[in-house]
Amino acid sequence: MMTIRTRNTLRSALAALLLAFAAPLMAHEGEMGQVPEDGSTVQGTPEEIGIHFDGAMRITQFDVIGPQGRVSLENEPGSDPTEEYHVKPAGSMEPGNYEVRWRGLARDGHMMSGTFRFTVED
Amino acid sequence: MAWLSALAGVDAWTVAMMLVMAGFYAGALLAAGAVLFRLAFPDLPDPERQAASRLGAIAAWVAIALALIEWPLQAGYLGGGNGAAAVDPMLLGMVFEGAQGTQLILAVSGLLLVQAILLDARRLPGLGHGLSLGGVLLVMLAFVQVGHTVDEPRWLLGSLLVVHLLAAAFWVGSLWPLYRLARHPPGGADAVRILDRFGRVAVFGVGLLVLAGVVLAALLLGGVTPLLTTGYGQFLIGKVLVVALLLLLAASNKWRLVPAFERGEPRAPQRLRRSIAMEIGLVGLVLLVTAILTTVSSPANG
Ligand SMILES: [Cu+2]
Repeated sequence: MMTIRTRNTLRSALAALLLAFAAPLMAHEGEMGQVPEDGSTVQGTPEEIGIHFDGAMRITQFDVIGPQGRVSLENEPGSDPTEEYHVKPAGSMEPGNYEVRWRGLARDGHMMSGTFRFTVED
Repeated sequence: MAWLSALAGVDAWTVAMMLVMAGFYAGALLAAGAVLFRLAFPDLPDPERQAASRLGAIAAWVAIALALIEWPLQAGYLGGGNGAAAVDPMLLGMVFEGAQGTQLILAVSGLLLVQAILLDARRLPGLGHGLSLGGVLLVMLAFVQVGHTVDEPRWLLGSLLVVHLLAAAFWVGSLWPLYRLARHPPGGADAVRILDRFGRVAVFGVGLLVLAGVVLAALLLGGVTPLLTTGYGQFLIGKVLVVALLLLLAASNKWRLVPAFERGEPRAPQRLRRSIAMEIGLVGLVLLVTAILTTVSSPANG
């Protein structure tokens, strides 16, 4: 059985350890920003649509969905690790609300997903 | 509430991935735990020893099957959560080449080695123990391949996770043999001896489990604020609450029910078994929350 004394020693050691590491650790790749920015409104068809990360990500799904359904894209960049992922719309985009859904694999094996929205105006 | 919005975006595909992951955790911990329990209690009565080995071996096969099912589920998730993506060779290859693939290979080979736990029955105790313990080590290595324990300081984070998992495995692996032992006539000598010794070993095991878990969580979260504001932090609080309930049950077993069992009180075996059965249920809940923690949320993105 643990005595009160060892328990107190353990407790203070634990507290010291927690204080020593109170600063957050570098976590894995995070989303840094979107093009067009989430929630923004753009005039006419955007030249490119994409996201950037603070580390290499393998994008495995990138769908742009609008009033006419899925927007066809001119290029498919593939899923090599990248910090910048951009696609170009194949034709002009109708005015309306658009949503981008993406998924990807981070270096640490975490599967990531996200969505962002923008509006296209005439 | 961040935890609710983390769950709101979850589709059926992700739920399946999570449930399979929770099942894999349960199987792998049960298999590793059976090896550890047998090692800690070489003097188990024969029927209990065989039952523990059998359960460990079955759990290992179940975990292997679930690890293999998780692979196409992950590929399917990456492709948007559909069956076509689950069999897409490009996505399957990407998962296999990455951290998940390393985890799969280590887990499957470790769980195959754990089968050596059955060798003892054929009078090869040394070989059986050695091989099955090697299997446990491979399974532990599998767990540190994926997630934020691969970040720096990798050795510290990895070791903390392994200590946490070994203690958890020992606890999970002990539940079924103890449940069986509690069926013995109250005050039976074997049962009393083992329950008593388990109570003493468990205090240290649980201490290690909680200590490593708390330090690991503090390192990964980096403060108290994310504990309250992120989905990950809130699920973690949920996990801690269920674990606290488990600890209460364990404490009541150690200080109330086992002494009653030792005194030969007629209703003690039944109450002890009911309490262990409740522990088994709560462990399942803890593993489910853990699977949510590791698949739906992460300390980095809420
Ligand atoms: Cu991660």
